[in-house]
Amino acid sequence: MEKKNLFLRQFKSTWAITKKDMSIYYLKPPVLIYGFIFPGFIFLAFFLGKNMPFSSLLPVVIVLALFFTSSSVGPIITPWETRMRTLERLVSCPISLEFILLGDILAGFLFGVGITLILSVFAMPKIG
Amino acid sequence: MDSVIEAEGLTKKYPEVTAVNNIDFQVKKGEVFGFLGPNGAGKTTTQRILTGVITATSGKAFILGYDIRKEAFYAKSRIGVVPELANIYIDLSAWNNLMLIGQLYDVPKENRIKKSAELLRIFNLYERKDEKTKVFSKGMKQKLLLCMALIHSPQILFLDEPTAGLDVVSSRLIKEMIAKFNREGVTIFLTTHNIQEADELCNRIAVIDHGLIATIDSPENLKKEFQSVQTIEVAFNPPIKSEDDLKEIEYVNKVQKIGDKFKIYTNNPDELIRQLLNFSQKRNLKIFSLNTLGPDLEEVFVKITEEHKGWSYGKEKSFSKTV
Ligand SMILES: Nc1ncnc2c1ncn2[C@@H]1O[C@H](COP(=O)(O)OP(=O)(O)OP(=O)(O)O)[C@@H](O)[C@H]1O
Ligand SMILES: [Mg+2]
Repeated sequence: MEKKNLFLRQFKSTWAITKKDMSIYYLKPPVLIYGFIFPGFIFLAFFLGKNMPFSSLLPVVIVLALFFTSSSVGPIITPWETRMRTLERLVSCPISLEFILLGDILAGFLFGVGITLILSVFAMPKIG
Repeated sequence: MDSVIEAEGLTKKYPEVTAVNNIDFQVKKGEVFGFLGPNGAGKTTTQRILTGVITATSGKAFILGYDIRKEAFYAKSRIGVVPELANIYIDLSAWNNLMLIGQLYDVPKENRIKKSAELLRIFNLYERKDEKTKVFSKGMKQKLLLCMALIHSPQILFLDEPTAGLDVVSSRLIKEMIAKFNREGVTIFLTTHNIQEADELCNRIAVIDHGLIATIDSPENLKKEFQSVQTIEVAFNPPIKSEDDLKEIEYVNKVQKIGDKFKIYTNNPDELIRQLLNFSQKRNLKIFSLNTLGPDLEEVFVKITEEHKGWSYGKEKSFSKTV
């Protein structure tokens, strides 16, 4: 019972960290570059350069977008927070490092899903 | 329970140095405990161990009876921490910084809002709560850090140099607040290299250097040690060649040459300044600069440890003779 409570409490904190990451890091230049511009260019390169049909392109683009966007948020958070010394403040809160990292990863994942959804919505009519 | 912080044989070794070397001490409920030492003494390292930010190489620490290593969650929930360097989120507003920390300490939303507003008002930040803290001054950031440390009404407050680099007004406000929260029952662990600050606020002071605790005593008793190692820096024009002339002067305990300045240790700065004026007149020298620097902590440490030579220091109770 006690163990379960502890887990739930920390999970709540994880969500607080994810929300914080979303409001801070989604707008940082490196995230924008890797998250939006990179997948965009790859999409254009395939679509225009190779003249591939849209339907076979979509899965590729989704995978690429997911990969680049998810991996663009997570890796910048930890070094950024270490350098800004904000991680030190978080670590002295009652939440273990694993849950802090989980929050960061979750933020990256949600970002990736978000971008992918946007791309898909744009792409859908074309497959039609 | 009497002791709210207990350190037993705490040691932290880094590849290059032993930052904290087998220290023991206890902090009693309701006291202001000063942790005083020169730069690099191991103060921050000790606080980081006690607040569960890093783990000790060996030794144990208990916060309110909870093992900081094995029961970190319970210990951390009950303490507030102001780390050495300001590390709020500069991309968030003051208010959102407080909300985030409040959530991490699981403060219910209503309390979180009420307490945040109350704390921001105390520290004169309420009007600026919605601004991103990027634009805050050092003093404002430090005050916000204090608010963040207090949002969950902790039983113990750890402060690492809370007034370093702040102007007189800000540091006075912070000191007053420390005293106020202490009166309301919060135990304070105050890390500082400022003797005056420790003297004003603390019930007991631990003097630490090179990772060892030299002594733990009341400010009154320590003052005696501090008295004899007050320092004055003086430079003459034209510069005098050797420190030997200065050693002849009354009230001079020790002279150290630093460039063309001389650092003089004394137990009576006031008299010494008069003597120095005499000296310069007699020799037809101009005093180029004269600074009173207050007691030199490194010297305090040396003095205390010298007094206890042959005694084992590093342990609170162990001013007993080693056989
Ligand atoms: N992460 C680290 N890696 C290696 N050495 C460290 C580390 N942290 C601290 N040290 C060393 O440990 C010693 C004690 O450092 P600490 O920061 O605890 O001193 P301090 O008493 O807080 O000093 P100050 O008054 O300058 O803040 C120093 O020699 C420092 O170089
Ligand atoms: Mg320090």
